[in-house]
Amino acid sequence: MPKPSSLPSRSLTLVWLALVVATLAGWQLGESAQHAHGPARAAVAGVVAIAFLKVLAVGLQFMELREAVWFLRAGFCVWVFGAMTALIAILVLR
Amino acid sequence: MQTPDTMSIATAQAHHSARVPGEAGIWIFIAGDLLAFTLFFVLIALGNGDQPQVFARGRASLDIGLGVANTLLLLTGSWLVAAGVETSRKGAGRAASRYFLAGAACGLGFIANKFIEWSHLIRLGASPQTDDFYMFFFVFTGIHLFHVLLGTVYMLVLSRACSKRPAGPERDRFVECGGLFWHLVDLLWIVLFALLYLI
Repeated sequence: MPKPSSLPSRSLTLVWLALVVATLAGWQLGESAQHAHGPARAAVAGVVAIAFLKVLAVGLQFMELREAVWFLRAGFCVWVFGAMTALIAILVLR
Repeated sequence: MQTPDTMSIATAQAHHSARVPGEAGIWIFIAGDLLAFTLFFVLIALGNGDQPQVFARGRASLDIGLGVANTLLLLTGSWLVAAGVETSRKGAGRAASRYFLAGAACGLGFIANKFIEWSHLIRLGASPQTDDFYMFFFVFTGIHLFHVLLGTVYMLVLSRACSKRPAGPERDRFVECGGLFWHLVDLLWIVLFALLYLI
């Protein structure tokens, strides 16, 4: 049996589980967007938002930005929300 | 009341808690890669708006099950690699080595899946010259695949380093840089997957 010190921390495992669930939710939302009759703008925005929330979780937890110097964390968060907003605007409003 | 000694310990702890993971150079690389891929993401979104039928037809030819499997492989790889970084810092080099080896196995699974997916599409007659969707698909997932290949090799190197090199700040930095690169590869795929397979 592995020593307790070599097991992944609970927070890593919880974030990984949340990412798996979000992936399955994004897949289902994408299926509904592709098979919708007529515009499925809300579903498209939802798929992109879920993707960037996953990116945020990977950055804050796995890349350890949650505990990093503020300017790295801020820069990453600005990129996440900026890119997400730009993509949703292009996909939904154009 | 705090003595000068307890104050300096508190200052040192605060300094340690707000640090740069890995080293500054890897963050400059990450920033550059994020900006380059942001341009790719915008090009896909603009193409989708300009040629919705071409993109819908191309998207319908993709095997979404393989895309989901690849996403889960990279996410699981990220979990294992993050566990490897954590474990290596605790000085458990052999356990960390196994985590990085498992991370590399996830990378190999991704590469094998991509080979299956591309072979199938090429047999159907798709190529980067077919239309804008397939051009974006093959070029951008190809560039990403190269990142996965580098990440997989890096994980194999880390696996060896953790079983051979002694624990310490130098190994920690090397391991953290490898972990950061792997997670970058993972997060770029998360957005590519959403834009190419799901919307």
